[in-house]
Amino acid sequence: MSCRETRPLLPLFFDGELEARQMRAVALHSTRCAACEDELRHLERLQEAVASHVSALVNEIDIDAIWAGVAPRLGVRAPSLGRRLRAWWDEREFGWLVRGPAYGALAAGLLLGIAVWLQDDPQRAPEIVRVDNSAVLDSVQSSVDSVALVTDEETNTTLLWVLDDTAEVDHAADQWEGPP
Amino acid sequence: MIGRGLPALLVVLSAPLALIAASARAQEARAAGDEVDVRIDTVLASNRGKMFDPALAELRQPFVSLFQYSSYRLLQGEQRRVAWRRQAEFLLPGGRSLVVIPRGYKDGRVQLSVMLIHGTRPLVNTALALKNNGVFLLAGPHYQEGTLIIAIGAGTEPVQATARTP
Repeated sequence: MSCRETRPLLPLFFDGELEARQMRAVALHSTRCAACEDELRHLERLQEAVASHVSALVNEIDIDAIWAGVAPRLGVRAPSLGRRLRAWWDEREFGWLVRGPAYGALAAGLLLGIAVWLQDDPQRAPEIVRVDNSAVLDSVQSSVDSVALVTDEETNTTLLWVLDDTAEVDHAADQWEGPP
Repeated sequence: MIGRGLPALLVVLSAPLALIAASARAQEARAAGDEVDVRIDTVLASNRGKMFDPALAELRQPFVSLFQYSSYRLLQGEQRRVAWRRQAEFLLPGGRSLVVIPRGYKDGRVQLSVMLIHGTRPLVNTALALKNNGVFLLAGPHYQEGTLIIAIGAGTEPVQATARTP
């Protein structure tokens, strides 16, 4: 593959949008051709430059100033649940006859929570490591008779079954568990 | 007033969010480094005998769930550090090969182009985004008395040493 053929394909290669032979050919050519390798690096640098410029812009943004301008336009907000409970409490004249036991119950609850937390031994309850092999397939191109796609729900493992001759179809049909 | 102000307000609110998202992606790309670990395990699955290779312990759950073979034997396992956008070719039994091109890293996923080739004929070409350090299975090619299952793993952090050595 020549440079003239490769150049227009480089952005597509960068985005993984070429078919198998072209992907291989461009990858192979770019390892041998300094000019095309430079072009790929240029694309990479361009992406990095955009990303870094965006990062700098984000850092310059004064979110507080924006919020100060936005907040008055949002109108009156409903008070939070905590404020409403506090207001309800303050409106009532319960006095310490009611408040005393209430604060006592709150303190007891806190102590109980702390005691349970301290008793919890992390070694007795090992962390469950969940395997996640999930894959998102953007494209599948095949020159074979049949292709099947199955996923194991437990680990999200994706299986792409490729049958490249008719004899294998029967054999695989016997062995394949089938879609869950 | 509200009719004119609301779109402007939405623009003002959404612009910083978009910039923050772009910045996060840039940071993510930088964190992915210059290379990715690609691991290819080739397994011979058959109904001759009854065994599950201990080296495949990590793959037991998906294998049991997806296949009904009685025997799973690891034929070969190979791990390489591959530069982004460079192709790595892994030779498989039976004159087949697997070409893997890691294209990039986005949203915690390694973007791969995977090609299974028999001789010079590409059997399948797929582009996928695999969860970082996850495994993708390719199966079907006949070999000897069984079927080849190819486990393709990719991760931006070195894969922890496992028992997966034939």
